[in-house]
Amino acid sequence: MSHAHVHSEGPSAESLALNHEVSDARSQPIVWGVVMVAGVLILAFVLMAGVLAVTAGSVADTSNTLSSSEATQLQLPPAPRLEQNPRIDGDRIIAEANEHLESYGWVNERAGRAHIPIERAMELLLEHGFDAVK
Amino acid sequence: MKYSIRQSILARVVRLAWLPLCLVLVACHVDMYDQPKYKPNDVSNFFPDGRAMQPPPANTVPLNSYNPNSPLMTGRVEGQLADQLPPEIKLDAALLAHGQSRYNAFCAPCHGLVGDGQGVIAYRGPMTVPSLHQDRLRTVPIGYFFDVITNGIGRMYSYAARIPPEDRWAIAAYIRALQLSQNTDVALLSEAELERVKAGR
Amino acid sequence: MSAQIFPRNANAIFLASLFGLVMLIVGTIAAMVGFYLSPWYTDVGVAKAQPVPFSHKHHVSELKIDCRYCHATVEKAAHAGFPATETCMSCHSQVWTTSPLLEVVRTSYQTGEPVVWNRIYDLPDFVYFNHSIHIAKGIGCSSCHGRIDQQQLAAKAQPLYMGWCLGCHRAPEDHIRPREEVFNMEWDVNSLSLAERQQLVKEYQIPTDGRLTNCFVCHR
Repeated sequence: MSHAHVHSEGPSAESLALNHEVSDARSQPIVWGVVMVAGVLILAFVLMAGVLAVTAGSVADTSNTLSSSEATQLQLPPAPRLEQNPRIDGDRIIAEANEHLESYGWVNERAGRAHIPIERAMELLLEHGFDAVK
Repeated sequence: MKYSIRQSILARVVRLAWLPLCLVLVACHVDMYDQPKYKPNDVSNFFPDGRAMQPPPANTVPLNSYNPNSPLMTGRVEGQLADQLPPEIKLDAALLAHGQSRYNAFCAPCHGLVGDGQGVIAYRGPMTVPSLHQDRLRTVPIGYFFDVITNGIGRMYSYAARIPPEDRWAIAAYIRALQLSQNTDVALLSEAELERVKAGR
Repeated sequence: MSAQIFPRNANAIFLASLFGLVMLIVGTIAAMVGFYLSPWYTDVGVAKAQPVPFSHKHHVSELKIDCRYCHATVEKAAHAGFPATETCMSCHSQVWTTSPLLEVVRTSYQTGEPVVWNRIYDLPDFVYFNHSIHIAKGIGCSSCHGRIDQQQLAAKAQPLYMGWCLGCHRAPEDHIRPREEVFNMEWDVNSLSLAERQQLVKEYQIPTDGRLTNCFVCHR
């Protein structure tokens, strides 16, 4: 009786009685499988290392080799420039204006003129009338 | 008893058997969807210029107490630019808040939220927008702003079609508040505020 | 023996035909409903060609122009107000004055002939929608028009089914926002808690007794 034939007969009577398989799986093919995969991996590494050793010498690293004077030339020219992202410019203008409208600061310190938040200015305007503007 | 209830339910269900027929009707009747009437901005086959919205004939005026020569409508008193708000408009917090929302919608694209002529459009466009914070504009009568919004000035178009007169006055009042906010006499401020001015925040 | 008229599998064919007939009817109805709800029928998200390729994204999101600059009557009238050629020209007499894309606008300004745009939302004539009341009660542009500030060419954001209208008329607190945020395209409804939104509904005196779902509110 061949080995395979024994296996094809299915679980033993003891296994059936216990409701689980009592005999161990054959470990030999599993071990062989692992060894072969590892072997192929090692072989691939060795081959790659060989290929790189032969060809990599001729590949020069061309990144970031600009001299500092050339790098300076790549800086942005003075404004006005083409807009890269109009949305960011718009957001910035609105945010700066709002910040200015919500803060205190000098406009002309010698003349005693300041800028104040718009809410406060509206209160002052109601308090003193339009003459306060002049 | 039970039997009759079940029968009446059945009868009710059977009575609704026509409902699926509505599915057939849905696609057919569009005469109520598109009634023979004009809605705003419709195209017209009737009027020669093709618009359903006809401009009013020349010299049309609204009913009621409308007076096209009143300070409310012209920004002028006896031909001179008004230096006060017209009697119909009262300066209060609501007017300024309304003016702020109008200013931010209609004026800020070019004149900027601060009124310094640095709006987003001014930033991009090839034009120079004058700042509202210059001595000339701080001392002009308030009717000047009304007049400019109504009739336009230089390259600025008239905004009369988009901003009703009451709103124009609200904007003019808010411009005064903006001017005050950017050029406040520190004598008007409290001690605490003066500290903040000095600290610059 | 009498001759058999029907072959042996006639019963099976008959049953299969019955089944097929039922499935055909159900499938046809399902397909019609699906078509009715799909963009093929509703045009949702389908941008239309316009005489001028106007971009809301550019003008709203990048240039920060307020909705009301062009749709000026939205707070006062039923109709949001389609901008007159003059409105376009108040900027484009200065900016892009030689652009071939704007030739239509310039011609219209010179001749007085209106530019004929293609309507995006065509509400049935038996529905009387009013923009101003929705603005006044704190329903924002983006609640119905979606993120139009992200669209290059305008497209419908909603199919405008009646059930959708009623959803908000039954539960306005799901969509309400403070009045000053109405024109804010980026407003997120969930930035206010449900309790705060219910408070807004009360403050703006929106009836919650079911009156808003009466037929005559929208149909006259």
